[in-house]
Amino acid sequence: MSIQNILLLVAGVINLIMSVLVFSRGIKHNKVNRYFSLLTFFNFLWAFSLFFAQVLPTDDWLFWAKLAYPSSIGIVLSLFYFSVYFPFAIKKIPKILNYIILLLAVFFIIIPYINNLFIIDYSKYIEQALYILYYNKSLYIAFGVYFFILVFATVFNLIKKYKVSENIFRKQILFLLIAIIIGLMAGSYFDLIICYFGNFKHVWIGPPSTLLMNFVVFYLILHRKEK
Amino acid sequence: MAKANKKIFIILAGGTCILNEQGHILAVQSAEDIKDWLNQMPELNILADIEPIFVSSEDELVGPSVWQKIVAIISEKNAEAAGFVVVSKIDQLINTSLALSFALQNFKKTIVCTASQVSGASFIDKKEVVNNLKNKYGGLSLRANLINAIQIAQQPLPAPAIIFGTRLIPAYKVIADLASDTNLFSSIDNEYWGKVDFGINVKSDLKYNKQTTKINTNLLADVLVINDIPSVPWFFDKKVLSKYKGVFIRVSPYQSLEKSKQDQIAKWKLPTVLYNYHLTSPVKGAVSISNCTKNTAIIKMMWALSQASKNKNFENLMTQNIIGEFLN
Repeated sequence: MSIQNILLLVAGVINLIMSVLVFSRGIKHNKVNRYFSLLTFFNFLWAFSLFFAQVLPTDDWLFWAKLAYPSSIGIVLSLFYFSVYFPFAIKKIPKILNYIILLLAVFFIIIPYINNLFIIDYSKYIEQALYILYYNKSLYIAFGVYFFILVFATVFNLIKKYKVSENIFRKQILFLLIAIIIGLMAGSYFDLIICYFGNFKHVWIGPPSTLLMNFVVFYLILHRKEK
Repeated sequence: MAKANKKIFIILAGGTCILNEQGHILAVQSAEDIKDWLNQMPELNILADIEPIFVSSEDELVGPSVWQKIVAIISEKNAEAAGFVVVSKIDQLINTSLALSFALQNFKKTIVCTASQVSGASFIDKKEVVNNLKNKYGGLSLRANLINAIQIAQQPLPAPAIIFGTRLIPAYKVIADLASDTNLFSSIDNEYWGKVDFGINVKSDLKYNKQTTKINTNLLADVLVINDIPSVPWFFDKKVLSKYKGVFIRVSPYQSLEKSKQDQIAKWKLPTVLYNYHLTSPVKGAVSISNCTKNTAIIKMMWALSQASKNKNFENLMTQNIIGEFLN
């Protein structure tokens, strides 16, 4: 197995462990835990979908390749809601905006599985563990626009909170903001932008770039010595 | 239908200093200041349905009369509240939370106390401290503390507690932490009810008392506090002593109180408590207690003396574990 695929597996497993860890801390009354647990779960799904899409020699690879898109919508959606509630909410999202965000998410989650709509053609190179998808360009751009709007809203939310927060919150937001920006930049570039031009060689870089935010949260949770 | 926010009362008794957008200090000196003060923290209204109540200003002394007012407000608003956040001066925060613990025993609603790192009405002398906090932490900590306190007030807690920085500590375990400038308080046994790390995490295994609530609305008694130094004699005017209902003496753990001092205690004929965290040697006419924090012992004494009219034995009250204050 190539080092790239091992990295995908490692990133997926670490994200899954983090998802379980944060979930076990309670999600019913804690929206921060709820959305971070979801975020890391979708990171795990994303890493595994790319892994299986690359390594599976059977026709099943296409299912996994398609799954990367619903997973990435899950990631950006959970990240956006996480940024709304972490470490505290400063604004309520209007109901109508919530519905629009969720309806569009459902739309972009479904379309990869409708034949010849979002993905119009594909090639698989089993020996090189590589695949290429060909998109309906308008829908792919729409997907990208939706994705980037949520990304910018996330970063905007966190920067705004950094400005008004103090003490422990300020540090936490700063650390997470840096980790999230790095993850989003790598993920967006290697798994969204260059794929538009048919370059799928570097999709494996996206999931490992999410590890930094896992490490930051892991540090926040475990670095204190108090009982 | 959207779920309605829980009702949280924020009781303001000093310790309200925050920095506004221009970096100027803003504090609640009267009920009229509350609106402007709250406008600086719009996020509080998202966390809960908050109702602020003014009790005392920054320059008022926080003591028994202020505590009595707070107890009266909490008793009155009990039915409509999901929880209470008490903001008070940092230097009296431990005593305030303890006074509430003794006055509102087995209270079923959560009471969380917090403060700004800076209090008082004059800030010229605190300019350096304020600037340092502003540069290092972006504020005076109250905004972050209030955000945490309001969230904690919506969850059940067994007794009044302090949230400051990242630590949630039951009132009877709180001691000042001089080593940290984020967490100004710590727990005497390093055990916490909760912490703020990645969100707020309140322990799930806290023990809750099912006994009926006892509310004491009496004014806590004034007590003279002496920090005894062996071989340094005490000199007290009778007039001074007559102002107090009792005498609290912090003694050395490993040597008995000198004979001359024991005679003085006998002569005063005032209820007297000898305290040391580790151990205290018995002295005739005085109650010896240990294994609780010094602040807990003092406030407990003030509370026990205020119960005197109810014909309760002072010594019994002092040696009983009333709020879980004896740690061993």
